[in-house]
Amino acid sequence: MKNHPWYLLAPLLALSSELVAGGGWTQPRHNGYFKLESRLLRARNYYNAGGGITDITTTSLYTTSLYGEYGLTDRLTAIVYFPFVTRLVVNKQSFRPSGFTVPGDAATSVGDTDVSLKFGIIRNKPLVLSASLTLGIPFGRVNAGDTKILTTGDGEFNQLVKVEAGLSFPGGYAAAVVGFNNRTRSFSDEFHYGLEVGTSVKRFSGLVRLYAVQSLFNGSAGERVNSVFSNNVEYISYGPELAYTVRDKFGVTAAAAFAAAGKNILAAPTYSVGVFLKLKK
Amino acid sequence: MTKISAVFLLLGALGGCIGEDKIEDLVSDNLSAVVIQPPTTIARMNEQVVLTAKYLNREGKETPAAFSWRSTNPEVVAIDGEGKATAKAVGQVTITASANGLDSKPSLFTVISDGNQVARVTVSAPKNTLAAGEKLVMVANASNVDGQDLPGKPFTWQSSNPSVVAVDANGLATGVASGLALISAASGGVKSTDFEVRVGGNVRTGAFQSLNNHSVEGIATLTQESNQTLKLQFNDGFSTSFTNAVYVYLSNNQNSISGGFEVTKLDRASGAMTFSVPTTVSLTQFKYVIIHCRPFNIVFGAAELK
Repeated sequence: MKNHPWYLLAPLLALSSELVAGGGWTQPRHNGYFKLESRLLRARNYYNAGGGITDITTTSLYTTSLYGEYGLTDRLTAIVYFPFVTRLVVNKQSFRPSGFTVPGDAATSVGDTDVSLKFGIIRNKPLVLSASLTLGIPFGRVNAGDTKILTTGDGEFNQLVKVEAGLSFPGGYAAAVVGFNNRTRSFSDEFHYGLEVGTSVKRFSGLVRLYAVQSLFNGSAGERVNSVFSNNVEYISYGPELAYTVRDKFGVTAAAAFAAAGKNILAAPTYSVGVFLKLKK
Repeated sequence: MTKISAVFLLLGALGGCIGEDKIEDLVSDNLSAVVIQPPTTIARMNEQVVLTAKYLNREGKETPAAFSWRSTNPEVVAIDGEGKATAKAVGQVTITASANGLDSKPSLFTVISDGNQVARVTVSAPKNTLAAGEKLVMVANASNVDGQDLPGKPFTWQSSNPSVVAVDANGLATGVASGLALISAASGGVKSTDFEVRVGGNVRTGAFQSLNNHSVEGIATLTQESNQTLKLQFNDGFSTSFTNAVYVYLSNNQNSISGGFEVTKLDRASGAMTFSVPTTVSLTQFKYVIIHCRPFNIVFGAAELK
């Protein structure tokens, strides 16, 4: 399984910016987009600090979240990503034939929450541009579970600044994003970038997304801070998302995320399903 | 909406349960061996005894194999290809079984004609490690086929390596130089099984090597104290990635804790520390000291004890 390039990673902790199509577009005033989503990840490996794959006890991450975009003005959109249930589970280990066992562990809590403001710099043109600031509020827990090693958050305050561009063309769109995440508590800062292309056919919409995080390795917080997966996380992920609009305002989504490489992160695909509601004035 | 809620609940249930990983015990070191049962045999003249052998593969698992048998003196004990031994004359031989190019440890086979003659000799001592120049009183005991002691029997003593351990006619052993010697006593033509004595071997040490891109540094030292208890020490230079749910193990495989012994849970990530190891563990039982993140089953580093 280690030889399969498609057997990839998903981030342990979600970032809303990579979960939804945003691009450079902002919501019109009093319009919105809201989504309830469940994501599931089950990993038997992780990308170690050197980028190699190491076997681990099966680790599952279940997240149920609310995501909302709301146009405060035509230029200014408020965005909230709230993972109100984040559950991390590590399996029990049973060695055979010796019979030696190591108990499993689990932790459940609210996860780290992102609050963003996006400002439209260029609007109402085929090529749009926006800038945003995302504050990552560490509602998640560190040193959780009986073992005190589980994490449902990174335990620090992210400040992610992004510039996003979007290009509309007949039959679809393309979007690009670059960002810088300033991290606290001596965590390494991060460089983010991503690309996305999408199209719609009748009630169906589809997109393919590439998103990458690179650590600047400028933080002194090693893994001593809390966990194996705490600092200097890197990955390059990609995956499709399909949406079906059931009615004008209401639809369902399904998505998967894979990755080509990673460091200090679980190595397994993430699968998600969701329902969304569009608010149009 | 009810169906959608059910889907979300199902996803929650799938992710929410603590499952079970079934892990095959990982043994990469060569544990191949041929083992004879019983390890020692006493038989009367013309008696036939069937010995059995088992072959353990590299993982220490019993595996079918074709065995060949041999006796050091077929005129005393003859043995056929099925392990059936025939006592033909009074005396003592060693029986060896072989499979896949591997020999068993010699098995002592003693033939007696009289129920009151010496059938078994045993050797004991209060410890099996010595410093150079240190002396150790060893005791031999003779018994008949029924296990009854036969006091007053004279013994002759032998060391397999007198340059390591010298032993005099009274069973007084003296450590000479570092190494291992096998001490035995014999009476009435019957020799005891070997008693291992190690000189200068009460300390084993090794430097930690980082594994799986985690960091472990420092030196581990396992010491057998004079009261036979073991002490595991990490030096001042010891450090590891972090301490939450990180344990110290003794193991025979640097990549696995299976079959190993849990010494303690680390309560700090660096600096000198000392741990007691119970007497159920022997100095030479394990090859590695492992620093192990137990919930995720990741070995951060290992020190090979030499």
